[in-house]
Amino acid sequence: MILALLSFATSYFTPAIYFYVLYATIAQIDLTNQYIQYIARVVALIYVIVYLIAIAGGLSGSVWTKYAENISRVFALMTFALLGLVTYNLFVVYLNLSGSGIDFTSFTQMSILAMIAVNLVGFFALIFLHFCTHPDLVCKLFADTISYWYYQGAYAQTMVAHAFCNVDDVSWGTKGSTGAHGGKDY
Amino acid sequence: MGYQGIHWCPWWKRLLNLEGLLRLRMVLYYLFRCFWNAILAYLFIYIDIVVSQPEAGVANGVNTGARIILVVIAIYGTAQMFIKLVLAMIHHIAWMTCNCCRGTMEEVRKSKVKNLWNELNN
Repeated sequence: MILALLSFATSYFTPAIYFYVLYATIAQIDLTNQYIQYIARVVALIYVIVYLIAIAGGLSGSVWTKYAENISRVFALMTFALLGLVTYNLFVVYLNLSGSGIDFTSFTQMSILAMIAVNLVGFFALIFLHFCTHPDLVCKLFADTISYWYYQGAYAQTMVAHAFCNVDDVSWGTKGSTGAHGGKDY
Repeated sequence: MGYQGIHWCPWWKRLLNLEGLLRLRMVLYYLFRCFWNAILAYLFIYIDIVVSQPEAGVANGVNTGARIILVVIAIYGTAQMFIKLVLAMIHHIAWMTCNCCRGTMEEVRKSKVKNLWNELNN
């Protein structure tokens, strides 16, 4: 129940978070460089346009689902870009590893370090906890990480947009999906 | 009554065009969701870019004035990850200590799990 609530809450404002993190992580690369500021705006705008296309497709019904993978591919590219940008921002902008290094009196840097520790240590602790009982599955999990990231575009964005657009459709799946969505009674 | 197809519906339903209204409702729902996302994105930009100017605080060459929202998003993500990790660990440890070692699993399920286990490991 808690997990379902967390997932629902997050899926509700995923677009705003994606938009802002894309914009801010590019803008922060160099706040004084005008070109980087323009690129940040253009990329954020492209994200909004792609998301609006996903919404329009989701509302248009089953015909769209044939082409939804193209939007998912664009979202997947953005996910990889976001991973790279966040990693770059963490090490170069926040922890300043390319400059003066870590300042142990800085609250921001220490909170970033604590969050990295909680996420990485917790994630690997959970995985290796399963290693003694499910060694094969743990190896598969590591092997599938890249494809998991790739499919995040579909799972976290296209499918969520499609699901939100079709909450009135309570059928179990393929039944009736070959026809035009809606209007079948007329 | 005239022709009644598989998807026949009464004249008053056709007049009201309920199906069409339902689609419109979905569009409105989605516009409502987009509206809140736009407000949220505006708030993010306003707080991080407008209120916290880069020159608001600079310590050791590191800008401490801006990027509050990104840190807040990171705290939210970490908190969520932490809850999921703790729940997953509790479940797995409980499974290992209760079901797996003490053999409290139902007899019917035990053979199925054993078969699955063999399939996965072979």
